[in-house]
Amino acid sequence: MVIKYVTLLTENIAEESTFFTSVLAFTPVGEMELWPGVSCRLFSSADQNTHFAIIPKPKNFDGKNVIILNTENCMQAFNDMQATGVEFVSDPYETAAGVIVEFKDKAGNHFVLLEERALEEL
Amino acid sequence: MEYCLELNNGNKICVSKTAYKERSFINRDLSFHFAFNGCENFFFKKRTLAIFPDSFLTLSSGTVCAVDVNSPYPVQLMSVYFSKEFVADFKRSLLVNASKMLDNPAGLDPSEDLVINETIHPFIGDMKYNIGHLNDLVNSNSQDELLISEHLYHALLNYHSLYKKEIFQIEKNLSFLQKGTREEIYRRLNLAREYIYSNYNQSINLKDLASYSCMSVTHLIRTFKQAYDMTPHQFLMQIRLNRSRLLLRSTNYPINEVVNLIGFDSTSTFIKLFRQRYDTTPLKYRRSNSISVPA
Repeated sequence: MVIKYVTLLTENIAEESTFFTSVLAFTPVGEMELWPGVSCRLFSSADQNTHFAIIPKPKNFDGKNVIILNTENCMQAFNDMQATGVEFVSDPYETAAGVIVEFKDKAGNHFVLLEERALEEL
Repeated sequence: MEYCLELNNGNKICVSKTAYKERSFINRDLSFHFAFNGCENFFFKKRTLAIFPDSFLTLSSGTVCAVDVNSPYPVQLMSVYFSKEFVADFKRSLLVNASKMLDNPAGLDPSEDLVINETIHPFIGDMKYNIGHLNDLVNSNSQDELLISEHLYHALLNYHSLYKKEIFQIEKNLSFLQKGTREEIYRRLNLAREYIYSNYNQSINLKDLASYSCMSVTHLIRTFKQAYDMTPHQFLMQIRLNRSRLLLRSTNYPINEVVNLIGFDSTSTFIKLFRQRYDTTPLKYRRSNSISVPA
């Protein structure tokens, strides 16, 4: 499991995008519909080691940022982590970005476990 | 060699790796069938359908069916059989909203149902990933019934989404037809598609295709284009080029052999179409995407 995207919530997505591209020299790498109806704008550093997802409005998570973790197999991870007592706030579900399941830690921090899928590929 | 895993909830998953197989059976439950690296033929209700790695077959319960495999190399197959109780549970959880579940836990809204189209479907997207994980689990002798059942639930969900997406497209593109007519046209267009999926490597005659689909040639071409935004010929080219990629990736067959296997008459036409579609040549594609050759 690796950190894939650090999310940033912003009310002004154009301003935030300009900051990432012009000031930090990040490259926009597209958009991803992470939750139904919520599309993130993605930025990667030149060395491809750091990835940010800019979310337009803090709708779903009480204004808190979330950490997006990547996994090869979301359902396997869901199954394994449930057995170790992780508190999930959803069952795994499919989105345009791949399969997602969400969980919280004891402090109420929100995490998204994402299995990215190239759905257009044969 | 076949290995079947029967779960306590009545679902069954069978995996096998074989170059030769001949079998007849009565399909007791709703089932999905996959061939990961070759071809399996199904004979039922006077139809002959072939599945390849880019397609899968759904069969309804009660269908009498024969299957065969005859391949120069072992083909990895998987069949998933869903118990009636599991399917009923799926329908309840998916199609009945929460309040209805509380009011009527055993009831179903008759207007919403899991419709099983007994035909070939594209094996892409979430279904491909989900079944890939399921195949890995079964082949690693996993006995984790909860996880396996989760994958099976999602397989039904993936199928349902695929069906809904198709129906939505048909309803949008053929909106000028009445509902009953549209459903009948959809059924016949499905026949045309399964014929192309199964006979893609033959010289397909439009008259035969139209006759199989119970339509006239003109009607078939017109409605196919309206429904899927492409002609039957374009659909055939798409299948052939997709399958050429599978062969390029997973075999060492020379290009001429690949061209023959996917039903093209001319290598130069194939290379031209391949370049147009994928913006690269078949050889370059093979070099950058090659995986191990089937044992």
